[in-house]
Amino acid sequence: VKPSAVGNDGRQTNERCHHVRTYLLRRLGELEASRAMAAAVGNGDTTLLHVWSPPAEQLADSFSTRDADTRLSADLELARTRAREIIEPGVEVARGLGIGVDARDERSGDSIWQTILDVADREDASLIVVGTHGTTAVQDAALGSVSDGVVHHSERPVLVVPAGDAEV
Amino acid sequence: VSMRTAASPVASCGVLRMSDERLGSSLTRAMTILICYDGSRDADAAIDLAGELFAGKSTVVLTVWDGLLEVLTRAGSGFGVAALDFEQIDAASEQAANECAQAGADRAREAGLDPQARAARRDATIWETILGCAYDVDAAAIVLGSRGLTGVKSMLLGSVSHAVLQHADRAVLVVPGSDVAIERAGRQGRREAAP
Repeated sequence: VKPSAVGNDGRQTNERCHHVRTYLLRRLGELEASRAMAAAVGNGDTTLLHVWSPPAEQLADSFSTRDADTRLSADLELARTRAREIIEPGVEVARGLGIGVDARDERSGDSIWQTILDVADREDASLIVVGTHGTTAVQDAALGSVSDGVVHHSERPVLVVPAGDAEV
Repeated sequence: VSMRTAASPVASCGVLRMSDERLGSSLTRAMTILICYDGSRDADAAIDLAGELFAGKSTVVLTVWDGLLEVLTRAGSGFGVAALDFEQIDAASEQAANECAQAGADRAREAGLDPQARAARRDATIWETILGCAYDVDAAAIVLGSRGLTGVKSMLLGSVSHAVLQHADRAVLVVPGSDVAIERAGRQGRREAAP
């Protein structure tokens, strides 16, 4: 079985995203519990991917100061640290479900979905799994922009797992 | 996936949210997979992949059919309605849908699934029919082929997979048909696999 890529949305660092991500894995666990996903997801060739981007405002701000380079690298380091803080609980959850994952974080390029597809290409993933945000009235219009982007541009099968009632 | 037609009892299914209670109980329940099937090559590809991912699972292969009345309503009923035998035509449509679903179920069985065929009549939209069926069988996942229609084309022809994704309260597996996959691989300007 070829490897699978698990894409997390990369709206990085807040508690809500963390929650949604964990929920994604719970839902995967639901599938896994019946061993349906075990063959595809639980074979040790799974990549747990978190895509992050540096805080844009801080980044822009940093360019206007003399210490730009210093602050830029500090921001990037902070973003990386946060990315790790996000992904590690995901690894634990996956492990608890018996899914061995290769965890990695990737800095977002043009868009998060593009970055996910790039990683999927690199790893020749046979399946991409993404979560969606819970919907709110405001978010409806842009519902799951990352998962939408992945689904509409992927040449590979995509399993979209809704956030369910998470904080709706 | 463009399903043949549509009809479904659960108009409100699109806004159902999975409660924690349901989530918990579904952990221990036997899982059912719902595959939407219209007899196309894309739909065949979806069945084959589902067979790999969900081997041995209870599966419902759904084909949706259009009632003539709904077809005419949507078309503006410009032709001689009085001359048409609705019952006969609907019966033929349903029969065709049953046969289509059965062919999908046969393929699903070969792919290693434990399938049953189902045909459903569409009344409002196809996605409602699909989600209604998913609710009925308490599907853990919905499997759809994708023709990759976007933008104007998808508005005209109906991007069922998009609509299902927008409204589903459960996992949805979207399987690009081979034409779509090739086209997207090209458009991505995809780097060849690293040497």
